[in-house]
Amino acid sequence: MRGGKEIDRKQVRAQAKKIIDSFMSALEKVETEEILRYGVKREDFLRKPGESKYNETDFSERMLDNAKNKEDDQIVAEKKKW
Amino acid sequence: MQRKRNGDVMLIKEKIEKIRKGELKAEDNISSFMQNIKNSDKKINAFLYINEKAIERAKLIDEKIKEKKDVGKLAGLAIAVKANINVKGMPISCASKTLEKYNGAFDAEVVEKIKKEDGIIIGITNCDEFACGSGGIHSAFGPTQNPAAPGRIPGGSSSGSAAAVAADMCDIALGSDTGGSIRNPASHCGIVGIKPSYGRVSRYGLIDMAMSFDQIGPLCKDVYGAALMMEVISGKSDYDAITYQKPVLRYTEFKKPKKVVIGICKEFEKLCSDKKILELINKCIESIKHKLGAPTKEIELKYIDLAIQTYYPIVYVEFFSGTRKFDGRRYGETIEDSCGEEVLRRILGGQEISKAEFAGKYYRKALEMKELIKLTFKRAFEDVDVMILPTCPKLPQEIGQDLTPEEEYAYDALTVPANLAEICAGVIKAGEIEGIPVGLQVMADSFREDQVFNILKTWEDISQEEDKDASA
Repeated sequence: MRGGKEIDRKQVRAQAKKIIDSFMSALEKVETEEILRYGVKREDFLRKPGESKYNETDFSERMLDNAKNKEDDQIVAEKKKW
Repeated sequence: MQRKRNGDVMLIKEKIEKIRKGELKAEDNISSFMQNIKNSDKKINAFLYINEKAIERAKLIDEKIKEKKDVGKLAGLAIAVKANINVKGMPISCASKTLEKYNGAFDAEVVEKIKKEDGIIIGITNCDEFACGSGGIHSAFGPTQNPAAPGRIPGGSSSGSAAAVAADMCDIALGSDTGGSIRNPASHCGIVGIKPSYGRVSRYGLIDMAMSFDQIGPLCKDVYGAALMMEVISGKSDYDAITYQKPVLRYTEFKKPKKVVIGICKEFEKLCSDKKILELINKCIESIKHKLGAPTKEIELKYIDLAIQTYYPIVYVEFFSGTRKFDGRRYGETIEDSCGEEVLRRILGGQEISKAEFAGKYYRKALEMKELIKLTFKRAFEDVDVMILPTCPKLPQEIGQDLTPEEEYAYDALTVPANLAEICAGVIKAGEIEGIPVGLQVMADSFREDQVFNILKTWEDISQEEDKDASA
């Protein structure tokens, strides 16, 4: 609520998404590969268990032991609060 | 506000000298601003909080002067601070209901430096909520009026800081500039505003909007005051990792370089929708050229037309990330439940990008584009020393006139490039169109604030000469 007006969250989200899509489609036309000189660019951005260079095989186990909620081998974080 | 016998507002340099000599009491300086705030701020809405202890502080400075003790560079001056910069014990709400009850637990590094130089914090100024906006209309505590153009927006997000200076409610104000938030209101309110180079001023204690761009800078009625404040707040900080170990020059000396080449960029002209503004700025460039004997050079800045499209995705993501601390658990309210529409748009937009950021499709792409624009400027500054251009593409709208988010974002088209390129820029009143102030913008390479100040001072001198001639 702001200025006596209820904010329509769905509409605001859709509007934000539309803005992003339109801005990004303008940027996509420009070739920018290799320009960024910082940060780490990864081709593979997901690591499978056991692939860590530290090879801590019990890492997932320890993390899962700490987790408040879990399903099989995955942690369930706060739902719809992020 | 202290006026001379002829009614003109006293310039900062003159005022400092008078306070130091005991000819003007710091207490009188503060009292007169307090009175002006009391008389006018109900209408302007520049301040969210007034520091009632400011007079006591002024009395202490007067005592020091009386006892012939050393006083700092800002002795007795009234300094207003934007509501996103921490001042110990004062409400730092970011003009949001989210932090309405939050009191600064410590002094931001810039505030610490101001206090060390005997500047007096007179109050906390209104702004667009969490610095999200370019009009000064997105505050949870109501919009700020433009004292220089009644009924119109003052510009934002540092709206209250600019209005407080323009309405003679303080000597100097601090604002923050992420995409034009100091320069845009300086232009609309007809005052001087400085966006320092990225890494020039410590942001420790600034509540961030977008970490890749944020900078704290001064707003003032004259160039000397802005230059003096920059001398005080600039420098390497142990608390802000992006600050650089570069010497802080004596900006107030306005040392004239042997040769200045002024860059003119046609791409900027295309982005300025009001051709009257362009005409006015071109006239100023001619006068500056003549005064300095400076050649101009036409430069090409590729991708400037994509500055807005590059800037906003980065802002959305970084703002979303930065606001995760406002979860209503440690302090304040949960931001999504208490903020206004523009803040929510940026949070939800940032959330959308973060969810979709698998292989750098959005944020990384925008960062790459930012780097490309930065390189374009770097190359341009090999050929020219400064660039002169308008600040805003159009005159300030009337308060109450609805704009789409895209229309509001377009207000930043001429200021955002400096943030993307991490360079410094300054604004000064160029003149008026239909009685509304219009700002001239000067950009210079990173850490060349001295070049910006030289051009601003040159224009200030030209304007003062023109005013004298007109009144003769």
